[in-house]
Amino acid sequence: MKLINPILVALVFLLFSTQIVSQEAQQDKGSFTGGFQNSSNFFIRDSLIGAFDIPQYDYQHFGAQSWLDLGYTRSGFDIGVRFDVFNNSNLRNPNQSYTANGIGRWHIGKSTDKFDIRAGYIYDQIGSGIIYRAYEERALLIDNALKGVRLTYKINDNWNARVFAGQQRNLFTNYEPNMRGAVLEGYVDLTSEKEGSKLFTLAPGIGLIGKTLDDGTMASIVDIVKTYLDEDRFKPTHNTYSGSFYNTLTFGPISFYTEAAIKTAEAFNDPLALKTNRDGTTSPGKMVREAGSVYYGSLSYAGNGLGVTLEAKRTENFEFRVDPNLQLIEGLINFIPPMNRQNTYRLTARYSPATQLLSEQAYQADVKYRWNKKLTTSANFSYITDLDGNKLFQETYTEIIYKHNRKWQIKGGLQLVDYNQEVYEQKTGVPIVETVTPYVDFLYKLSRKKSIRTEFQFLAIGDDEKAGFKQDYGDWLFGLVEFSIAPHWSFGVSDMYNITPGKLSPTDPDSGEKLALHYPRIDIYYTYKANRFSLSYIKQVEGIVCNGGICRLEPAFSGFNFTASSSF
Amino acid sequence: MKYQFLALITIVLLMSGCTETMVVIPELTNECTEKVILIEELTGVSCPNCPKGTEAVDDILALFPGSVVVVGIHGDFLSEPKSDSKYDFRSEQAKAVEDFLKPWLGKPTATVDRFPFPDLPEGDISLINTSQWLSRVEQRCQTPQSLDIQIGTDYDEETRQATITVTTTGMVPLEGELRMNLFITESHLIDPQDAGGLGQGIIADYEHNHVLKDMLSELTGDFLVSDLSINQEVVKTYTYEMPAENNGEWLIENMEVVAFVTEGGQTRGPVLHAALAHLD
Repeated sequence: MKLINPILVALVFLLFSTQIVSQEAQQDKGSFTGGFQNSSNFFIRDSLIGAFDIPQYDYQHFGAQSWLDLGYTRSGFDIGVRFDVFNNSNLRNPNQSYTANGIGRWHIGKSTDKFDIRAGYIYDQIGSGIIYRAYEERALLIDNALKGVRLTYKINDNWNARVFAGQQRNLFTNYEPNMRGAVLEGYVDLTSEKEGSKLFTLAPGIGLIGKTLDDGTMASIVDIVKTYLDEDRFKPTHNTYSGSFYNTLTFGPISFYTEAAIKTAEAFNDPLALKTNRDGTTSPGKMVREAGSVYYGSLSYAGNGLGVTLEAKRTENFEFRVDPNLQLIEGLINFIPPMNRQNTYRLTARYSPATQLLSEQAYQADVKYRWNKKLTTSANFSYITDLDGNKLFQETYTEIIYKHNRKWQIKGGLQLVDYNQEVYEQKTGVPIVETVTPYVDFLYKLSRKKSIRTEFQFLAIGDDEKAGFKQDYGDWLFGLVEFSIAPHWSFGVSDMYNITPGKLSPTDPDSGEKLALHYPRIDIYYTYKANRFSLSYIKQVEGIVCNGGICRLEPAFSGFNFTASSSF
Repeated sequence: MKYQFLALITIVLLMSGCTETMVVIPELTNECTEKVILIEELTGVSCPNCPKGTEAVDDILALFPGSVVVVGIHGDFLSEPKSDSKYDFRSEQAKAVEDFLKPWLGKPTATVDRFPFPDLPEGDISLINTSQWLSRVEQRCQTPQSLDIQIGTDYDEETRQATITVTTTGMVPLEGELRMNLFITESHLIDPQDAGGLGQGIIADYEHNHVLKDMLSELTGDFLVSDLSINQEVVKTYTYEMPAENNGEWLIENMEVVAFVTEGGQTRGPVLHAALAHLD
C-alpha cells in the first residue's frame, strides 16, 4: 500500500491558509520574543580529584556553549530560529572537546481556526512520551526535535488530530532514518447535568509512530547480524511501529492516568542477551530483534490538605532509537517517565536511577499532608527492580516543613537509598550502595529584602567489605550558606566534604592513604528583570547527573563557571 | 463523529507499512587478499566491557588466520590496575597512542587499519560497537595488497638486545611519503581483568594478549620513503633493549614485533599493510 505523503499535504494546507489570513495580518502588529543562554567554563586542572586529561584541562582552558533564540508571531504566523555555538565545549561528551556553530533550530508555523501547520524543527509529545517525545534538555545536550512538518486539525472543541513526518535532529545535521506519527486526542465530560460540570471526565488519546530505517543504517545492522552464528541471526526489518493508548480519568479530586504502549519487533542491542561464540561458549551482549511494551499508571488524589500519588510501571524491550547502533542518550525517540523522586539537594540527589529501557518494574507512592498553615509533611517511597526481580533502586524519603510567621522556615527529613551501582554505572563487583541521608534547610528573613538560607546534609554510606573501604566515595558532609538581597543579588558558599573516604576516593600518592578532600563552591548571582548572571568557583566530585530519569556520568570538575541567561 | 472516523482512517493510512521485502543476510566471507590488517584495540584492566572486545578480536583472529595483526592499547582511560594486579600495562607510549586515535567515545573501541569508514563522523576512525569489528575486517580484507613487509629479528640473550630489520617492498606504485610504525607487544600475561560486562566480576587469571609494551617509531611513524615503486625494497633497522624479566613479565618468548606502513602522505592512517614477528 502506498503511503500518503504528509509533506505534500502540509504544503497544500500552508498555501491555502496563507491566502485566507492576509487581511487579519494587517490588524495584528505581532510580537517579537527571544532568549539567550550561555555557560562558560574556565578549567583548572586538578589531577587529584580526576579533573584532568581532557583537552580543556591540558591546554584549551576554556570551553563554552551558547544559544540565542529569536521568535516572531503575528496573525497566527509563528517563525523562530536558534543559533547554537559550542566553543571547546565538554557538554556533548564530558571527556572531549566539541567546537561547532550554526543554526541549531528553525521553524515556521501558521494557525487558523481549524489548522496548525508547522515546518522545521518541531518539539512534540504523545501521551507521557512513552512512544514519542521530541524535546530539549540543555543540561544533557538533548535536542531531538523532529526536522519535518506537522499538521494539526481541530476537529471540534474537544477533539483534535495531528500528523507529522520527518527526521530526528542530530546537532547541526539529522539522522537518516525517517519517522512519521499520528495522534488523536480528545476530552469527554461524562458529568450529568444534575452534578454540574467537570466532575467526571475523560481525556483519551491514541498515538502511533512509524520509523523507517535508511539503507545505510540497515547495512550497518546487516554487517553485524551476518557475523553471528545461525542461532543468533535474525532478519531485520526496515519499518518499526509503535502505538500507545492513554487516558486521564478525573472523578472529583481523583485523577487516574493510564497508558499502554507497544512496539513491533525491531533490532536493538541487548547487553544481557547471550551470544554464541565460534568456540561454543556464550557471552552477554548482542543485537536482537524483539517487540516491546510499556504499561504505566498513575493514580492521584488531592483534597482537604492531603495529596496522594501512586504510580506503577512495567517496561520490557522498549529501547526505541532512530538507529539501533546509537548508545546512551543518542537518538532516543521516546521518553519513559522516571519512577523515583526528583531530588534537588546535593547529597539526596547523588544516587539517582536512570530509567531502564529493556527491563524494569517500578512502583512509587507519594503522600503529602498539610496539617495547618505552618506545618506540612510528606513521604515518598519508590522501588525499582528488573523483570527478574533483581533490586535496582529503593528510596524512602521523608520531609517536614514548618513555617513560622513568615520570618523563618525550616525544612528537614531523612532519605534512605539502595542503589544498584553495578547496573546503573557499570561498576563491576560492587555491592548495592546503601545510604542514609538526614538533611535540614533553614531560611531566615533578616528584613523585607534580605534573607539567609542554610543547608546541612550528611550522607552515610555502607561498607564495601570485599574492598575493605566504605562504598563508592564514602561518607559526605555538605553545608551551604546563601545570603540574598532581593531582588538582584544572591551569594552562596558551600562545601562538600568527603569526611570518611571510600573505595573510589583519591589516594595520597606518597602515603597511599585515602584522602578526605573538600569540594568547595562559591556562587554569585545577579538578577535584573529577565536577565540572570552567575559566576561560580566550583570543585565538584564525579557523579551522576539526571534530568527526568535520563542520566549520564559526569566527571569531576575544577574551575570557574560563568552563566548568563536573558529573555526578552 | 464522522471527523473522528476520518482521523482514524488517516492514522491507519499513515502508519500502514503492509509487508516489506525481507532483508537478505549474506554469509560472512573470510577469503581475503594477501594484505594484512591492523586492529588497535583500546582496552583496559578496569574496563568491565573490554573482555567483550577481546572476544571479538579472538573471533576475528580465528576467522582470518594470518590476515590480521592485533595490538592491545592499555592507555590511561579505565586502565588502572586492580588492587590485586601484578602488572601495570599502562605506559607513556600506550597513552600517546590512545590520545592519537581520538576521538572515541569509550572502551572497548577499536580501529581497523585506522580506516575512516564512510559512516563514521569526519575525523573519526574508532569503532565503539564491538559487533561491527568483524564485518569491518571483512570489508578491509578485500583490499588488494600494495606492499609487503618482512620482519627479521636477531636477539642476544645476554644483553637482551634485539636487532629488528624491517624490509618493505613495493607491489604497486605508491606515491607520497610512506611512514613506518614499529610496536613491541607481549602476550600470555595472566593477571586480573574487570569482566563485569560479561557478568563475571573480576577474572583473576585473565590472559592478556597483544599488550603494547613499547613503541620504537615516532607516534606518527618514521619516514620510510617518498615514493615506492614496484619491487623497490626499503630496509629500516631498529634496535631494542628489552627490560629485565620481572615477575613473569618481559618474557622473550611472549614478545612480538608489529610493523605497519600508513598510506602515502598520511601520518595517522589508513594502514596499507601490517606484519607480525616474534622477537626471539
